[in-house]
This record gives sequence, C-alpha cells and structure tokens, in this order.
Amino acid sequence: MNTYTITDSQLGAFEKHINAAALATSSSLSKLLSTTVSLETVEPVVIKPEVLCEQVGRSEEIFTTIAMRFSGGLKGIALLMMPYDNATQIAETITHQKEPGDKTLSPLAVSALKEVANIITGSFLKGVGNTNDSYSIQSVPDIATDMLKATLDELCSEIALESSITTAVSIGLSIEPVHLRGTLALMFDAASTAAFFKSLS
Amino acid sequence: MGRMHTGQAPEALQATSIGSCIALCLYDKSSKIGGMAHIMLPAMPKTSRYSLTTNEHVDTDKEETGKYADTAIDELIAHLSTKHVLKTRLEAKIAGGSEMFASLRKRTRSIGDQNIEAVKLKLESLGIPIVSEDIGGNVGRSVIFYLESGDIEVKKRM
Repeated sequence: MNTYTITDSQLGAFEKHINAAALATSSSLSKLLSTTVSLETVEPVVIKPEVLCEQVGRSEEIFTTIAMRFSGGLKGIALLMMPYDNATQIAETITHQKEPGDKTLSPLAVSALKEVANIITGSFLKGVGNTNDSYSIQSVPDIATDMLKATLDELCSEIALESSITTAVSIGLSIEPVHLRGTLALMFDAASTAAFFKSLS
Repeated sequence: MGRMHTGQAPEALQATSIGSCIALCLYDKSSKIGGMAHIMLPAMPKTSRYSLTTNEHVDTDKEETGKYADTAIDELIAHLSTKHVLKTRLEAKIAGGSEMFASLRKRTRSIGDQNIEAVKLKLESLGIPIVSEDIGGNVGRSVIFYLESGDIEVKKRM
C-alpha cells in the first residue's frame, strides 16, 4: 500500500484556500438564483470514505443528489446534496415551472439542478486551482433522488477501492430568504491530493 | 457500512439506506439466531492502494474485514458460531446492490453488481442457500431483519 503524509500545516493552508474558493462558490450561486447565498460551514477533513458517507445527513431522508467526476490538477467526485423539497424550490426558482412534488423531478428541473451543480463545482475547483495554477475539468453531472446515504454508497465505495482514507471538503450553503439548504461535498483521490498538498508546501 | 451484528428472537436487526452495498442476513431457524452484515465492496484489495496519513491519524486496514464480501461473510459466520450456530443450518437473504449514478460508472460493471456476484459466489462456496433476494436496480433500500420469523422487510422510496 502506498502511503502519503498530510501534515497539520498543509491541512491548515488548504483550509485557507478552500474558504476563498467557497466564497466564490456562494457568490456564483447567488448570481444564478438572484438571491443571497451564505456559507454555513466550510470544513476540510481527512476521513474514511464510509465514515464520510454516514456523517453527511440523516440516512433515510429523501435527498436530491447531483454527482460529477472531476479530473486534472485535483481528481475526485463532487456531490451537491439537497433535501428533495429544497431541490424542487431551487428548480422552480430557475425554471419558473411548478414541480409535481411526488419525489420526482421534471426534465427541465433536472437540467436546471445539474447546471447549478456544474456552476458551483466549477467555481469551487477554479478557486482551489488558482492557488497553484492547476486546472480541473468536470464530467457531465448525473442526478438521483432517493434516501441520502443510498445515493452516496456507490461513490464512497469507489473512493474506498483506491484509498483507505479520503480528503473531503464539505461546504454548507444557506439560501435566503427561503431558508433552503444544500451541501457541496468534494472527495479527492489520494494521489492528486498528496501532489496538491506538496505544491502548497 | 462495514459493520455486522448478531442477535436472537425477538430482536430485529436493521440496515438503513443501502445503495450499492449489500445487507446480508444469515439465519438459523431452529435457534432463531441470526446476523446481518453491511457489505461495502466485493473483495479486500490485493493490489497497491493509497493511504493518507495525517499527524493525528495513521490508517490501517485492521478491523476492516467487515467491509468486504470475501471476508465479512466468514467473519459473520464466526460470530454466529460463538452462539453455537452451525454453518450447515444457515440460510441467507440479501438486499441491495443498486446503481444510482449509471452515467458516472468507471468500470464495465457497477460496484453494486460486483457486490451481488461476490456475495452469491461466497455463499455458494460455503453451501449456504439464498432463500430470498431483493437486489439491483437504481433504488435505495432499508432492511429490517426480524429474528422471530427470519423474515426481512425491505423499504424503498415510494
């Protein structure tokens, strides 16, 4: 097994950079929704993928999760997770079309939510990449609405196949004045994380 | 994920919100003793695997055998044997193995499919029959395993 070392100072430096990137993320979402989006939490952690999966939220709550891969300077998986009701409200804000509210999403809402995830993930990755002139590109997003942990199982398992521990960033977003909430979580693969942290040293 | 529990009637065991993982239930009708494992991956990796080490946390693969089909099933049987349950009296029920983000799949087969196959092969090699299954698809599942009857209840999103 290959082992990489992350020091406290590297993690601290990373936290400063992701705070700046998270601010850019909330700003992008504010522009998209024409409302105030504030940051609730910005937290980098080094954690086992399966533990991260269990800490994200109440396991049986119905969430809409938009997932995408990213590769380049940093590699990994990005997830935008919102309670289903919040996802429909965000979609309705953008599309001006009423959603059925039966735990499904119209094709237009799906497109809108994927675009939201695309924009804020891109904004965050660009912000992080600015710190060491690296560049990450995103895949086409995919979307699922189901019990929260069930939607995350597969992606956490995939990370666990390659790394016994992952570096993850969780950004809590609060959308005012309607009190919507969402979390953007990014799980980074071990090799690109180690290279990135080395570049910070 | 990666955990296992055993119990005896009238207890019930539960695994909530399962996606690509497998909830494996082993049951001995005569003693009404059973166990459940929440299996995450098909097999313990044998090739190079990255581990990140922080100043506070040194990671090892110890105590991780419950995560993998090839080791978790042996471990669950070993736990049940401490309660005097014979392997020959066990029957299995399985649920899970779904795929939520098909377009993001990196491999030919989904992790859910690989988990299903690994669990079935392992049970077959041990001579433990699978008496019911609710597997695959693209839906999350929560499983309750009633040790009084040996029945499992699988809840899915409506």
